[in-house]
Order: sequence, then structure tokens, then C-alpha cells
Amino acid sequence: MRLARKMILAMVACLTVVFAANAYYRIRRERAAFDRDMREDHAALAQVLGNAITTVWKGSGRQAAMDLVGMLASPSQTLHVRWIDKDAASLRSPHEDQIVTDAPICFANECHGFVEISESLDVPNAYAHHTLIRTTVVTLIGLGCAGLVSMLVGIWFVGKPMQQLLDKARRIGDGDIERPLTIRQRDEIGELAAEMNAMCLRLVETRYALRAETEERLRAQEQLRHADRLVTVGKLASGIAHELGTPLGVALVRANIIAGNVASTREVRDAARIIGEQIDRITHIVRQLMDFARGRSSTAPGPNQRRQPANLRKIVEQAVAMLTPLAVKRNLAFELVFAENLPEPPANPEQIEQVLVNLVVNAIHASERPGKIVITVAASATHPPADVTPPVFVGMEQPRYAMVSVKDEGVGIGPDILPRIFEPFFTTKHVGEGTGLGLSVAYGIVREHGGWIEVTSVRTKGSCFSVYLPMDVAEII
Amino acid sequence: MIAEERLPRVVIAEDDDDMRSVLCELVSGLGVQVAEASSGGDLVVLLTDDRPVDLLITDVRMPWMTGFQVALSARNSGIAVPIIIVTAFPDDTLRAQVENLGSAVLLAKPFRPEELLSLVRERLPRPAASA
Repeated sequence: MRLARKMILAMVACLTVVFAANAYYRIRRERAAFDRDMREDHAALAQVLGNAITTVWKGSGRQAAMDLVGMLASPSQTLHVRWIDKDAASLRSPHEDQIVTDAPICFANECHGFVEISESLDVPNAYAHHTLIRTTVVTLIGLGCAGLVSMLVGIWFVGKPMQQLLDKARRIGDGDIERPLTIRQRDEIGELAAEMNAMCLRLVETRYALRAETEERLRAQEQLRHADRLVTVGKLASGIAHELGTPLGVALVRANIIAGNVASTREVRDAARIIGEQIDRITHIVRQLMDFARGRSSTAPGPNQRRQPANLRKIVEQAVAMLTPLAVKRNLAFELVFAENLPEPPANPEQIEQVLVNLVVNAIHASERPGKIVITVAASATHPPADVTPPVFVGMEQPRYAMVSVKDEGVGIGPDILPRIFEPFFTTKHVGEGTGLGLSVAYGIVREHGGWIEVTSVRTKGSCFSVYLPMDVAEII
Repeated sequence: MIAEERLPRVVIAEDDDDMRSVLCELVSGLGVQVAEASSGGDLVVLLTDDRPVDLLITDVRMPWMTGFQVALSARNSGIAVPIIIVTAFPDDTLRAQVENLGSAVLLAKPFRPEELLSLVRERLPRPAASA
């Protein structure tokens, strides 16, 4: 509508200027022609009157000539004629608002005076005024008609389709790309509408393709996850079988010896003791498995999840106190490094202590010669590695973490086994030192807290396990 | 012949001390010589010394090298000794690998003493004279 209004206003303004200029010049031209005609008439009349009066004057004397002038000077006419003596030239009529023409009466080498013919300009003025009014009225009517017609045309061909295009564009902006435009004009606006419809069609196609692709990807992801679960279950089963197979085998053979009834009392006693030890081993493995399972099952956030600002210094000191005897036995010393303004991430303190104990026990087992184990607690603003899945954060611009690292000077981890260390039941330790569940449990707990574990290791130089715990958990996926 | 003059020699590789002593006790009862290894590394050492080996009994999961890796290396080096591979998790992959080794058999843990003993007897070159 607004565009159409602007166009109409511009058109009307142009027309007004053209009409006005035309009227102005026409009136001026007519007025000039009128003036010229009057002056020519006056000149002719003056000559005729001059001759006539001169003739009368010569034949009948001055008085008769004056009488003739008096007869001509009728006040009812627009044309005034009067006599002016040669000595009274100052009495001549002014030339404003009238045309004045003089006819000198000269004969016998003497000028006796002149006849003055004057005519008011009222008539041509009135004519010009009339013409002006008429022209103005006609122009206004013409402009009004033109404006009305162009307004109707503008609304019909520009304003309405433009409004439709505008509405459509707004709908697209709001995500509604159905309902195509029905503008059938064969002009730029029609072409624009057709292009918009085509664009919407392509958008619809893209949207469907995208949806299909997303579904396909989700399906593939679900399949992968399923396969991954199967692999994990397989590894778990294999791990359990390996761990339980040996003590069960030992117990079975010893039980057979007892049952065979040929062994000496001492042999029977030994066999029974060994069976008991094997059962202890099995019990230990089962208990570890239950810890592992418990760690996993608390993934769902709920009232049981006791997260509070964790005092990391206290947790580290407790874990170290617990493990000092084990470390001393291997000639290892602890070095604790606490940063200033220690961060207190929301966490379950017992779970974090379990993570630390597992990491420190690993560090102790990895240290084959005397040395130290450095535990550092600090704040960190690093970004989680790209391959941490699921993603750690949602809606956090400036991630902040608490970092606890355990660094040993032990044997290190080779690059070939580094990717497998968090797998359940994966272990390189000697029998009896570990079940291969410690790092799995630690990893599970840290992931539940929305954090991750970073490992750097050099063979024969040592390893460093860094636990990152988020300070603000906006939302954990 | 020289072989008849000596006792058959059986190498047993197992990292778990209790399990290894069980295996040794059972096999020694057959009147053979027993050599023990507690890791893949030890086993390699035993297989590469000059003394003959008539049967190899090995666990799969051991430090340094798995029993299967050692067995495979042995075969690749032309050692044709019969092998009994003891494992707690005899899955299809391992089964196929063991089959490919040739004159090797899988024994699943836990096993009854007779199962092991009959497998050993079948594979010894000649029943040893009863001790």
C-alpha cells in the first residue's frame, strides 16, 4: 500500500507541475495577444478620429470639433475620448490599469492639442482571471481522476500482491513454508512470487531430506550404540570368565583330591585351605563387580545422588592417608600440591575418593623403583577433548573445572594399550594386584559428574592421570 | 633311541601360582618331567633352550605375551610340539585361531582333573613307563 501511495503521489505531483506550467504560459500568451489587439485597435481609431476632428476643425471651426469630441466621450462606453489642449499636457491620464493613445491634431504648421483615447484593462484582466480559475478547476478534477484511477490500479497490481509477498516472507521467516502464493500476474511481481514458491518447494524438499538423513543417522547411531553395548557385554563376560575361571579350576582340582580319598590328612588340609583362598578370590572379584555395577547404576540423577561442593583437599588427604602404608612398602613418597583458592566442584565426595584411591593404587603398582607420586589440585579452564562423548556441557560459555592429577614415575603405558585402559577387566597387573575394574569404575564416576579423565604417559618415565570435574553443571546429557 | 631313554618333558605356562601348581601336580602324576613358566617371556625362554619339549600346556592371559602369541611364534619358528591351550573364555575367534595352529587343543577353565589328564596322555609321544 505504501509503495503504491508513493508512486501515486509522485505521479500527481508531476502532473500538477505540467498542468500548472501549461496554464501559466497559455494565460500569459492570451493576455499578450489581447493587449496587442487592443493597441492596434486604438492606433487605428486614433488615426480615424484625428483625421475626422481635423477635417471638422478646418471646415467648421474649433467649437464644432470640440462638440464632436464631446459627443464621442460617452461615459457609458468602456472607451473614453477627450480633448486635451496642447498647454495642458500634464492633464493626460495615467497609463496604469488602462491603455492610453493620443491623436495629435496638427495642421497649418501648428499643433492645437490632441485627442486622448483611453480604455480600462478591466476586461482583459477579468478574462485572464476567469481563465485561471477555469484552468485550475479543470486541472484539479483531472488530477483527482488520474489519482483515483492510478490508486485503484496501484492497489490492484502492486499493493495487494506486495502485501501477499510480504505475508509469505513473514510466514517463511516463522518456518511455515506450506501454502504457495497464488499471484498470477505476468510481471516482475508475478515472477517474484513464482520464485518464492520454487524456493519454498526446495526448502520443503531439503527439510524432508534433512529429516530423513537425521533419522538415518540416529538409527545408525543407535545400531552403533547397540553394537558397542554388545562389545562391552562381551568384554565383561570374557573378563568375568577369565577372572573366575582360574580360582574355580584350582578349587575344583583340590576338591577332587579331597574327594579321591587317597590323599594324606596334611594334603587334604592343604587342599581345603587352598579352596578357601580361591573362594576368597572369587568373593573379592564379585565384590568389585558389584562396585562397578553400582557405579554404573547411579548414572540416573535422583535424590540418591548426593552432590555437594566437594572439599578436594580433604578428599586427597584422606586417600593419601589410607594408601601411605602401601606406598611406604614400595619406598614411594607422596607430594601434594594444592593451588590457592581451591575449587569446590559439586560432587559426591565418596565417589571422588574412590576415583582417587583407584588412581593412586595404580600409580603405586606402576612404580617399580623408589620415587614419588605427585598429586595436584587446581582450577582449570581447559576445554574438553573433542572425542569425549557424550558432550560434557550444554549452555556454558566459559567452562570452569576442578583438576586433580596423579603423576607417577613408574613404568608408563605403551601407546598400544593406552586406548584400552578404561575397558572393564583390562589389566596388565600381576595376578592378585588388580581385576581390571579400577579405571573403569573411576572413568564411570567421572563421566557421571560431567567430567573426563585425561592420560599422558611415556614408557619407563611414568604416567599422569588428570581428572577434570565441572564447576557448574548446567545440564548433563 | 634317545627319546626312549629319557622321560617326556612337559612345559607348563601359567601366571597364577595356585593354578600353575595344580597343573604341575596333575601332570607330574603321569611320570613326566615338568618345566614351569609364569609369563609369556619365561615360556619363550624355555622353548628356545636346547632341551627337547614334548608337550606345551599354556594359559592364554599372561604378562608380556599371551600363551597364544607364544604358540603362534613357536609354530612360525618350526616348533611342532603338541599344545594344550587353557583358557577361561574359549570364544569362537580363539577356537578358530587354535585350530589353525595345528596339533593344538583348547581346554576350558574350570576343568576336571581327568579332562586335562586324558588330553595330556593322548598327546605324549609314548606312554611313559609308569613311575
